[in-house]
Amino acid sequence: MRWLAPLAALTLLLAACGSSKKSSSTTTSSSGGSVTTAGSSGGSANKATGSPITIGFINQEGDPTASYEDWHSGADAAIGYINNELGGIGGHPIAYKFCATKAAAGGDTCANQMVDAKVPMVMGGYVFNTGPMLPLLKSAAIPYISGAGLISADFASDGNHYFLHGGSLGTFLGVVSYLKSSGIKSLAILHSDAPPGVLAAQVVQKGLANVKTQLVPIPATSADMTPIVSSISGQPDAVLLLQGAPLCGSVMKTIADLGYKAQVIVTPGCVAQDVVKVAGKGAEGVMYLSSTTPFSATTDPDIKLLNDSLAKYTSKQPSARAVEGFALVLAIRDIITKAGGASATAATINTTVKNSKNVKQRLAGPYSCNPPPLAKTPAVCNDSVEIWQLKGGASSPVAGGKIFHGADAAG
Amino acid sequence: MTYVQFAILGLGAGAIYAAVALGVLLVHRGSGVVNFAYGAMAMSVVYVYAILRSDGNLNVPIVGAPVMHLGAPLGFWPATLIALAYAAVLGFLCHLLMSGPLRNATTLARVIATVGIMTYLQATAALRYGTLSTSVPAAIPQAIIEISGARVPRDRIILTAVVIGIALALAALFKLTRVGLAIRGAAENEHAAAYLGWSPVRLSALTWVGGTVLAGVIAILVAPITSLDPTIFTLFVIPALGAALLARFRSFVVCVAAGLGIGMLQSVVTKLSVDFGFMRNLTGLREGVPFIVIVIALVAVGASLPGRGAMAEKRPPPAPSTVATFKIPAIVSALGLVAIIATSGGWRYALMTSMVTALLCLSLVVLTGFVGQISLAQMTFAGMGGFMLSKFAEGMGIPFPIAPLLAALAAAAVGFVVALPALRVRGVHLAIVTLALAQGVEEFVFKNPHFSGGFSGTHVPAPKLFGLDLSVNAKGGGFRIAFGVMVLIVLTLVAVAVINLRRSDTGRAMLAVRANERAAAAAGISVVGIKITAFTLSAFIAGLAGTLLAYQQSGGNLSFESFGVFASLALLTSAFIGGITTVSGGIIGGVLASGGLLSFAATKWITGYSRYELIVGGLGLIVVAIRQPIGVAGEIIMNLPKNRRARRAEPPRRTSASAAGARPAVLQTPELQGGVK
Repeated sequence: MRWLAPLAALTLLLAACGSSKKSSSTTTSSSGGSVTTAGSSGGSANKATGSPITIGFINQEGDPTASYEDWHSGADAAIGYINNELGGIGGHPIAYKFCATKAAAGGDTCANQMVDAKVPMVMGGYVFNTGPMLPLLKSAAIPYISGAGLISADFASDGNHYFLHGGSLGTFLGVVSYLKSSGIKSLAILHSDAPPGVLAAQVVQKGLANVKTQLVPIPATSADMTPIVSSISGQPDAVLLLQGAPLCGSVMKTIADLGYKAQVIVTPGCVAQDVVKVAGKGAEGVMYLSSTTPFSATTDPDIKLLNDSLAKYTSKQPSARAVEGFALVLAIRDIITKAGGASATAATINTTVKNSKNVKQRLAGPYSCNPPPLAKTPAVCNDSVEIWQLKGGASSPVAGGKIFHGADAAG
Repeated sequence: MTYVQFAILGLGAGAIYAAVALGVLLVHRGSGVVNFAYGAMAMSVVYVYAILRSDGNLNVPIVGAPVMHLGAPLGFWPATLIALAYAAVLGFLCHLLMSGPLRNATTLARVIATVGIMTYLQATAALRYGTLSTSVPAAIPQAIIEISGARVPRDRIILTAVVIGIALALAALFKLTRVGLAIRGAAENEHAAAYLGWSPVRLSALTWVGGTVLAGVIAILVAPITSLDPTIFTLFVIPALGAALLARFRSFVVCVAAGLGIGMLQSVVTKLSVDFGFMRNLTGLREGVPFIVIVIALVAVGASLPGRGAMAEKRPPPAPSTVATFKIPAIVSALGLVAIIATSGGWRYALMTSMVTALLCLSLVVLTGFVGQISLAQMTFAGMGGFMLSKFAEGMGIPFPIAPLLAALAAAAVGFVVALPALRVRGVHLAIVTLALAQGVEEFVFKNPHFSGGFSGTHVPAPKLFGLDLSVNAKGGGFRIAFGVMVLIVLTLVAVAVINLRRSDTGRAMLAVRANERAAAAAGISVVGIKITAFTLSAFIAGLAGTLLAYQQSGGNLSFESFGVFASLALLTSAFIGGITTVSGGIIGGVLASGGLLSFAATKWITGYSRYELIVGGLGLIVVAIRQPIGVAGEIIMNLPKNRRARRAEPPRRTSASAAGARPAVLQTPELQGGVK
């Protein structure tokens, strides 16, 4: 149970972290509560023309404290690509019924809408209000498939929900695994002061028993990061930043301004374009963990595909979360195909995911739900993470592209 | 590094608080209004500036307004001037609102109008600008300097100097110029100032425009230091209000000193929590500093806070008594029961949410509707109920009906404690305390892993009575009727109790206290007793609702955000629009609330509704504030045939303003035109 804490923490951080370039123009609501067939631009290889397969889609949007429209854009790009160039699922286009949640509300309302709509599964973007949502979907036996689990309610398994990206536990413990192998002697951990952040930091500290660590909490309503960063004593070898955007941008900037020479390691949302702008020279050379291929790895063919699809079907900008949305939709296409395509039901989809072993997916490491990589958090099906470094606006893999597994550190 | 060095490092945050406090104080001295939306207004100005600089587009936070492309990204001065012009317009619009329809409104109406403005601006910013962090180009050149061994970014020091300079300028303006003198005079006695030829309306316009432009200037200077998103500036209002309170809403210089002091104190507390292991467990202590400062300020200077010699204040909204029989509650309950059985799935769940929220609204009816005490922290009491239920039921194994009642009693105890500072302050100052309380408790208590159960989270076991399972999720899907009936029973009992309260001597005493505390005291009513009763009872009802919320989310985990500042403000919105003075208003508030019946239906039938929900809520609050805060329920009651007839038969009411109607016309014109000819 001890590991639940860091999971929640990490996921919270990663989730809060993932950010992308702001969409500064007036957004037209893509679809709220109604069925949509996303994207359709002409002239592509293989257009799907059958009756649509409609799934549920829940994402946190419209909340002034945090909204994740860019995940939605990534999903739309994938659906556009699938429906127009891959022939949908066996000739049937994918459509979705969408519902937006807020950080602390809406989970139950959206779950109810999905139950009413009798969808065979629900795809989750970044949803913090899963607490009331998951039990409702479970009682209607509608499986919920998402990328990164975010809060403690997500990790325990009820046999009905699955997280296919290593975003949560995996990345967090993967960092511990990497740090152990890197040979650093001293580490400062700057962490969010919300309960997940506090506990996550404590677990990293315990996991790195031979390293001299100091913990510095970052209050969420900090007006100025100077006193907080100045609490770091001495010059540690590395600074691990367990804090999401937008605050991590100011922290990175202040670390650089105050002249700390440590290697800074952050969570993926903190290398989004707008956060990097805020961080200024503090973002140069920063390392970050990622369970999905970073969107700045522009030579990667899958990232190229993502960028092309985003441009063709959504006119939105790339971001880390758009990658996750794109990757998850592609994985879900494979799942539905295996579960029977147009005749897939909630039960067959659930069985397909539940029994998955080492299933490859694009833009992320393979996932296994049977058995899950970490026994203590059975709903999380992936624990792999890579470390990347941002230099001059482009990302390159560190440690020779080695995949770190959370399971290695959990022991 | 030493504590002194950390205090110096705290100047950055302190300058931000001081700057916001200056603006709030300026607007208050000029117009008598405490602008809770000040931070949100500053935020909207700096967004306009940032987008002009990054994209060359003029994007104002008005729903449906087109984005104007002005060409290439603008430089510092053009962008600033345009953004400040927008600020001036925004300030003027607020002035029109406050001096027009809300001219003689009660403090309550003005507070909720500013909360409405805040909600609207934040939600529109989220819609038009997104909620991700925006980088704002630095206005002050960056460098690091050393002050007694501490490495401080130079722009913080420059900002501090700028803020002190503004304070001194404002102090000089108020002391030495005629306009300043006129503003001070109008604050003391608007009639006298009007007789001398100064229009309080024009002075108010001046301070609103000036204050908002000042907000824009501050935000443009400060945003590169903090990060920018729709809600971050809103919360700076809380320490700013603490600083303004310490300055007794009077002195600019003391206000700046207090703001800087709060920032420095927070920085020292940061160092303390890193140095001392035990303090690390006191998460949120640093965030609780403004709240502690506010409480101390009130205890120290509360009694001498200046009132305002306003021209006329309207009577508080009517709180009509309901009929003597139990007919209406019985009919409504029966309808509720039918609705529970007839609906299923999402509709039934939305109905349950509406009922629990109606209960929360009833707690506000008792506190704000009957006794006139403004509380911006109602969800804090609900949160105490919810979290304590987990401790009692899961942690201590106390069985069903006792555990939630105990949890509600615990919430009532908190209500009692909150009542104590409330005895010394009233009106808007009480609103300030409760706002700070909401944030303080969210940071210091709900976020603390020791209280909230850490990760395994805050779980609540299913309620069972005599073997009957009352939990919300039925086996095999759907929602249990028994849970709905339980909520309905609780709601009905509380509603009947509140109706009886209204008709009892205590209820009448409450209304008397609301109307005029001194008169009530003169009539032998114990004002202290009434206020304590109101807070305790209101907290009990809210705590009970909190336990029902916890049961409704069974299987999930309670999170601190559900009971924080923004949740409290959202509840306030629903309660006021529904109607704050009657039980039927509370019920309507529940129907209107987010997640309730209306919201569920709207989300189903109107695409994209959820993005606009808060915007509609903010505008709705402003409308309600203008139309006397009697809300939808009040409008319905007023327009019932029997009430319309009664109003037509009534002789015209004599207010203090019209009592002066006997005087010659020339002395009446100052109220309208601002000059004695």
